[in-house]
Amino acid sequence: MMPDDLIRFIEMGGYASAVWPSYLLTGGFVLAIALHSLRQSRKTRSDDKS
Amino acid sequence: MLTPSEQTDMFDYFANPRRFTQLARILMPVALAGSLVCFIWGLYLALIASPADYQQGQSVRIMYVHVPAAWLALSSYLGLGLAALFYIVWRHVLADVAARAIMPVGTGFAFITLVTGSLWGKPIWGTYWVWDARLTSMLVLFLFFIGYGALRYGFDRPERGARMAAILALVGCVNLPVVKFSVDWWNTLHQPASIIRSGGMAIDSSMLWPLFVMFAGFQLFFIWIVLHRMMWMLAARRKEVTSRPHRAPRHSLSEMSDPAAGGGKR
Repeated sequence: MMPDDLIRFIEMGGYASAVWPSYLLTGGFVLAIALHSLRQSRKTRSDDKS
Repeated sequence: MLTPSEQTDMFDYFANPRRFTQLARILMPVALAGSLVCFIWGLYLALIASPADYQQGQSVRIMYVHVPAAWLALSSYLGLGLAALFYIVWRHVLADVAARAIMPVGTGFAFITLVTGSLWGKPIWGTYWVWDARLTSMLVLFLFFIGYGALRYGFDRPERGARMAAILALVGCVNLPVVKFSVDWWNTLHQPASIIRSGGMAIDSSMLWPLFVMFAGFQLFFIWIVLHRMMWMLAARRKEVTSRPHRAPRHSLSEMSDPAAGGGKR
């Protein structure tokens, strides 16, 4: 990563603080629904075995 | 052009849960790998490689999650509407399972659209919310998703809930063109379309590429998550059907929904 890119990347938290919450919210939702689905799938499979 | 009977045959062929499972097992790893690649590449383009906007500055980077989330919310609702139509016409179990799998994903992305739009609105418009036609119609779409979920799980008899929810989902399809064309039909604070519009695209390629890559990532993730959810829902349903007492084997899920075995009918 170039220094200019790094500065720009950090600055986004300063004067455009709306950027980070947007990405975190989206990433959080994507991970949460994926994990929920994987857990349900595992639960269904373990119920099948028992 | 397919004749109506050929269309029905094709639907029956793919609607068989066993064939669906075989197809899903091939598609799922491809969609998951594709979405991971697109997300990594798209995040690099969106957060690092793409330039800041000359008016909006760094805030423009919200666009790379806001716009794909909005497109995905709209296409999810379209998928929900189609599944509802198939359920109402053919009473097919797979259509109901598809709608149940789509609902929380679509609700989540509609919510993300509203929240990221508000966060973007504050620095650009000076307010988090206005009762603008685009924002309001998007809120209505979100409420239709919530309404579908409430009806689907709000009845003691799941079949009745599935039917009521499917009717609501179909009614809600009226809102889809309203969301899309609201910026053309009314004077809105929300900007008009920049990509799918009559005069060609009004966005620079340095911003268009990250948008398309992120959109591809979102769509592939959607395909993976919906197929994955459908697979475990089908497995859970199969288990429930086979464990019911006083049931002959002919009522098993695969036969219930296989038209060749006389299933899938009213």
